[in-house]
Amino acid sequence: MIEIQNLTYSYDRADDKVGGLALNGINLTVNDGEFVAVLGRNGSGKSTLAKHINAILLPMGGYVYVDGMDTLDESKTWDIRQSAAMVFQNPDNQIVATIVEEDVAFAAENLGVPPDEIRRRVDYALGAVGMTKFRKEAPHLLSGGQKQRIAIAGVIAMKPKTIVFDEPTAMLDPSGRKEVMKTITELNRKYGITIIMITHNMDEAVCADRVVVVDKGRIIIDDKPRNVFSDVDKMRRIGLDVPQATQIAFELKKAGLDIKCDILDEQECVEEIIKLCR
Amino acid sequence: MLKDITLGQYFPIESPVHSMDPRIKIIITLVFIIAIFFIKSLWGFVAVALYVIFAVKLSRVSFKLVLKGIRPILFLIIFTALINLFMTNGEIVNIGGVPLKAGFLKITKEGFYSATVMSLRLVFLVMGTSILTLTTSPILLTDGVEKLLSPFSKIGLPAHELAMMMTIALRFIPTLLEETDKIMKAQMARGADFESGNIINRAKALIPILVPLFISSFRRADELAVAMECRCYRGGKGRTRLNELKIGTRDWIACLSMLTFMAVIVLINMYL
Amino acid sequence: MPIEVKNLNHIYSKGSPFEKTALSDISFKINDGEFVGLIGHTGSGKSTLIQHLNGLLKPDGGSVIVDGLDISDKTVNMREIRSKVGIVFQYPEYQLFEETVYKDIAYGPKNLGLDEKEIDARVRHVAEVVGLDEKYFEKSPFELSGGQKRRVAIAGVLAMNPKMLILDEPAAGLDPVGRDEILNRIKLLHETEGLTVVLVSHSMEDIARLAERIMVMCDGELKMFDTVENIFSRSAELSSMGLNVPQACLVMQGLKKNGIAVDDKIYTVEKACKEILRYLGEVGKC
Repeated sequence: MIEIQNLTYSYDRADDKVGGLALNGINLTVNDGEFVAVLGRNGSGKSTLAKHINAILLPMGGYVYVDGMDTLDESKTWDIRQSAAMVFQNPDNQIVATIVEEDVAFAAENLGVPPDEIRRRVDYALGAVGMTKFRKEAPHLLSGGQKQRIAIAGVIAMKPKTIVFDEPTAMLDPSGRKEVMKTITELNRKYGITIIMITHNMDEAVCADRVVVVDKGRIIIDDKPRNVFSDVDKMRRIGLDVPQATQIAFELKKAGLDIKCDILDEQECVEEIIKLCR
Repeated sequence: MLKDITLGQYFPIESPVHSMDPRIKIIITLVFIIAIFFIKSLWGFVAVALYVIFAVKLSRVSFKLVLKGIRPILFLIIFTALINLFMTNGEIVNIGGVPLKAGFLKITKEGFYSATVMSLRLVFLVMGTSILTLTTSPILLTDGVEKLLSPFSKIGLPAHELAMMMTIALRFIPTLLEETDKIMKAQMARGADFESGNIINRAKALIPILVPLFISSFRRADELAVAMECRCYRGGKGRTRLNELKIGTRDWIACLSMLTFMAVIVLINMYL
Repeated sequence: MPIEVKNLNHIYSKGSPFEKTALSDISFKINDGEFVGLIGHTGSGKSTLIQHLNGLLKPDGGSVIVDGLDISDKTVNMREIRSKVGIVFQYPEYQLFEETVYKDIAYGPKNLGLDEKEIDARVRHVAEVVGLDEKYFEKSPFELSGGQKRRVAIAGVLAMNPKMLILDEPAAGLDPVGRDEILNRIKLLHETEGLTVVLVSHSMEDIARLAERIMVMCDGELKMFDTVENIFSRSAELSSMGLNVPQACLVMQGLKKNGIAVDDKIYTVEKACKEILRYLGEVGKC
């Protein structure tokens, strides 16, 4: 479980004026097994928030607890990082070794896990991301989506309860995005890993159980995806997209039609419009 | 495409030499190199040649590949041979009563001999190291070096850190090459010209490539460092490995073959 | 300035074991002042193709004619070709290198050997075009935010004063607001200055909103080159190539399939709403 209490952070330590706060009083609890998307514009503070969960950044005000461990307690840093792992945007810059398998083993090696247990974990992690047959390949020859899955396998080998993804698909093409999103969803549904995913892509936020919208360092919405996207005007004001299907429904409603707005995909949209025609 | 370059010259097949412990291979290669510098007679080189042929056969790598390593230093070999051939003092060779001498250049018996020995030494040196690098992946090579140097970490030699640096360098060379290619193209699209002009202009033309490349390398290094810390990297202490190096029967046999080889060389030096 | 490509072929690492056909038998013509979208999955040959259009890569067969000049012709000055066809690569901010924003934008025109006055005029003009305030001119480009860096980089290409601009994923990594700002600037430039634009993008929504015609690449071949509505009406073929169509298209096609007589060649939200309202009005439901 992740508990964030009244978290405040500023990048310019010199003057802590309110305008310079990257995070301004964040309160958030993520329960075990949840899939939470953190949505926000560039510079909204969403990445800063993610880095606090992993003790890369430490709170200037407030607290972050990972499984009851305070991130300010330095003796717990490595336990925290093992329990709440992190995957970053650019897969190229997180892969250390020249062979897939060796890279997946890296974290487990750092933890001093015995070799035969590392072997088991590596096989398990590669299986979980569907990359077993690439285990002997050189990472630089893989596609972006595959590299990102390797990076994910690399943290799974630590057996974390939670994985924090910081814009995991931002540098990938649509097929890579699909691959990675499928992997992330599966980790949550099938392997019961808690997911916190930072993104500015609404298509991806739709996959989550819960969407948290961050703007100017504050959480302004915390709700189910359906409810979040149905408020098209508000999302636009914040500067975020909504699915086109939702937009169509919203515009039709504005034109005076009796249509539900809390729809997420084209199928639902078509059904709603058909209802109008009957 | 730059992506396709292979690093080092590792040739991934299975053979008894490939599956040897990298530490033993490194040690044997070092001993071999030292040995060829002690050899004085041509009989010694016959022994060396036999040993190399034996090793190449056992490694299942083609001779062509092993000899390929000579090409880049062919000029050096020829140059050394010529210097030795023409500049060594001694008994000047006569052919049909004509002494082979012109100005300060001369061909002597001793010159002829040392030219041959020097070239053979260089050729076998390259072949020996080629067998090592062709049969050992860069990762194992790094691991081997790390393990061999680890006793020295007590006197402050950062063996683990050096090995980690090597691994990361190997990992990022293809990435940076690709990036260089991208930056070059982007600057060429802005009218940059890297091919004409004098040497100063050409050096100047490199700035638009080098600056972005450095900046991006620093950015990558920074991100990699954070990612490594997130995967609980805290230096070499207490680390285990997925594939622990193990010295097996095969390695002891190889050591034995090396000892035999050394004995033969010593005997040849003494009696032939 | 038209660009004509005839039977273009390109092979990577020719003669080596890694030999790979990147482009095979591609022919098309882009007219003056067009806005063309270029789509295709990664590895379909898009980026190889665009690099031929300004001579960064040379054809292994066929020809590329830019404004009447053949890029394979040894006597043709490459700088001239590159000043006619500008390419903004993906993540162009990584090519910035000068001490100041001004100098960086001026790098291209300087390479063209223009005089100070002309360079200054161009820098000021393109900065305005991309929406970059003059107060940034003396700053280091590395101090700017991601979105601003990208503007500087695009300005640097525009300063070459190209007649055709090729952009490879100009909005990659930007958030929705940043994306719309950049794309709207490009649209404006196309409309006001008649710039020919080729936009490479994975976002079908962006392509639908901006392009007039779409090229579809797959496995090194040019599979389709047609108007936006004709391309998006072939959604089944596109999905077999790993490409999708805007969600608005899917909604309209879904309605049609369910027996609702709407125009299924519509590809934007705006038009979709209008069409649905028109239909509902016609059948007397609103």
